Amino acid sequence: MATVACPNGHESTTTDYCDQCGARLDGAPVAPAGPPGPPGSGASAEATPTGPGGPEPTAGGRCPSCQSPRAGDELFCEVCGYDFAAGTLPSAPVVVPASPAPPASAVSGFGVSGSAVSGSAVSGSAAASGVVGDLPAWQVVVSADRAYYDRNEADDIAFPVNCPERRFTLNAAEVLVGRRSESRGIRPQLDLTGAPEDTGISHAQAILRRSADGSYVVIDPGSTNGVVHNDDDDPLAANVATPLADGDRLYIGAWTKLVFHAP
Amino acid sequence: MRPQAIHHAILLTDGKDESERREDFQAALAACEGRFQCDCRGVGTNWTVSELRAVATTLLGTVDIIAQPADMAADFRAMIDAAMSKAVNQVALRLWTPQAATVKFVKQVSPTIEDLTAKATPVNPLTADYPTGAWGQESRDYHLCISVQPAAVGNEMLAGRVSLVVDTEVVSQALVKAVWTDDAALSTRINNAVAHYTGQAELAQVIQEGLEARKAGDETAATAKLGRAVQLAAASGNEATTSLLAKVVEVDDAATGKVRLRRAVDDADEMALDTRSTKTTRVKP
Repeated sequence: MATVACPNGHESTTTDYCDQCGARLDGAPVAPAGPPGPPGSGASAEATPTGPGGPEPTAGGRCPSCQSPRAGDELFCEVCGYDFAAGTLPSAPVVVPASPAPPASAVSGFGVSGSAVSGSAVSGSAAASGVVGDLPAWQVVVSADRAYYDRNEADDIAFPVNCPERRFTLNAAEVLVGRRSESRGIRPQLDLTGAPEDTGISHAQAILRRSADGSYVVIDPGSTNGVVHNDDDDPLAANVATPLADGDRLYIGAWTKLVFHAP
Repeated sequence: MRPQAIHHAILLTDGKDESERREDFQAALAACEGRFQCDCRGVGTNWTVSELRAVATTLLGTVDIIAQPADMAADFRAMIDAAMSKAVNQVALRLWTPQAATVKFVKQVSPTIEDLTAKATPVNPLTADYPTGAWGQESRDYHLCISVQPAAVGNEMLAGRVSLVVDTEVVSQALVKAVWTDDAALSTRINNAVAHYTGQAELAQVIQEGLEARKAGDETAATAKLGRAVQLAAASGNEATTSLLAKVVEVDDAATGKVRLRRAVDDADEMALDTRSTKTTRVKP
């Protein structure tokens, strides 16, 4: 049977696309500029994010990291959390030792405390060290809040029966709060995946950014269900920075409460 | 048996698997797979939907409820009419995918949802056949999900070649192409038909899970699932399912899926909703 040579070196018996690797051959009609292929290829079609130091932010149009469209004057990319002003991704530039265990001194006093937190609940970078440089670190305690849940009337999400407190240490200049999504390339440092999981929380729910004095501000990058500060009736406006004081509370998702503790 | 004949059986039952062990039932079913097609009907309400659905799914047939024995004659006529209209037997959906690609699923999505993924028979390392039973003058829709290797922006490749095969003869063919783009408007757009049938598949799933939760006494989960079902059915114009759902839940607002569980539900209505949950509506053009 006659075969056609494909660009990848296969001998194909079909003349439109290679019968080994699917590469387009000369006999194929030109693809219309229609919708992309099946859903499976959608994920593969996403551009690979480039790290910090990648391309400069382009005015208006798109996120230089993940190529998603940028809505208006967003401060952060809604998809990957890219900081348009600083030109950095929200990956933690943290002093996490690659060696088996962090130095004991770094953990004492500020690290994960007690047995309330199981190892899997805390992601490595958030728990590994309690101090950043010379600054003592802020702590965040995450728990389930019945009153907020009742106020939400989120019928499709059940209140967790058992929700041990999770404790995180803020040890980066910028910390993304959300739920990890491998398919969308979102890996929050304060990752709230894992049972009991509040599915009302967006993948990119909130950004905590450190100010010059070491305290943090919170920014909602445009999450689905918003971020409520203390006893506010309404969620915070998107892309507006709100300072956090010792003892402040943030409510996200259907039942999740974050309490901030100054060092 | 005449090899060219269409082998078709009808299973009528008013009861359930009582004395057999579950493994024996599964083994008997597996032994019949691929030998004949079987349409299943449960008469009355003392049979088990999941059991009959397993038989129909394995043997490529339909499943439904005949709530009143008086309706059996009419249903039987309809089944025979449908069976007699089948012209070709043992039609296979043949799928070629490129090297290093993975088939995530192959589903029939119209007229009913049937997951064929596990029924693949390899033809060669890159090609598999999925059985679809006998066909008459009809059209069916399939939803495939194929994962391919990453490539550079601007590339185009064939991610799948889908053929209908009757007696080793290819009678119809369609191409699934993957095109890499850096245009987020293109890469985030979901094809209408894919969105529609993804919704119909979720509809079937939330109905079955909702009824399961209702039986288990978990009213919160049942209300949430069946509320979602009402919302999906209304949004996709699936009127048959909408009216079946209305017999099980009180609909306050279909658009937001706000429903209340009905206290007294006729067993036959609940079973009809369960058995017909996989019937889909055609995508609107």
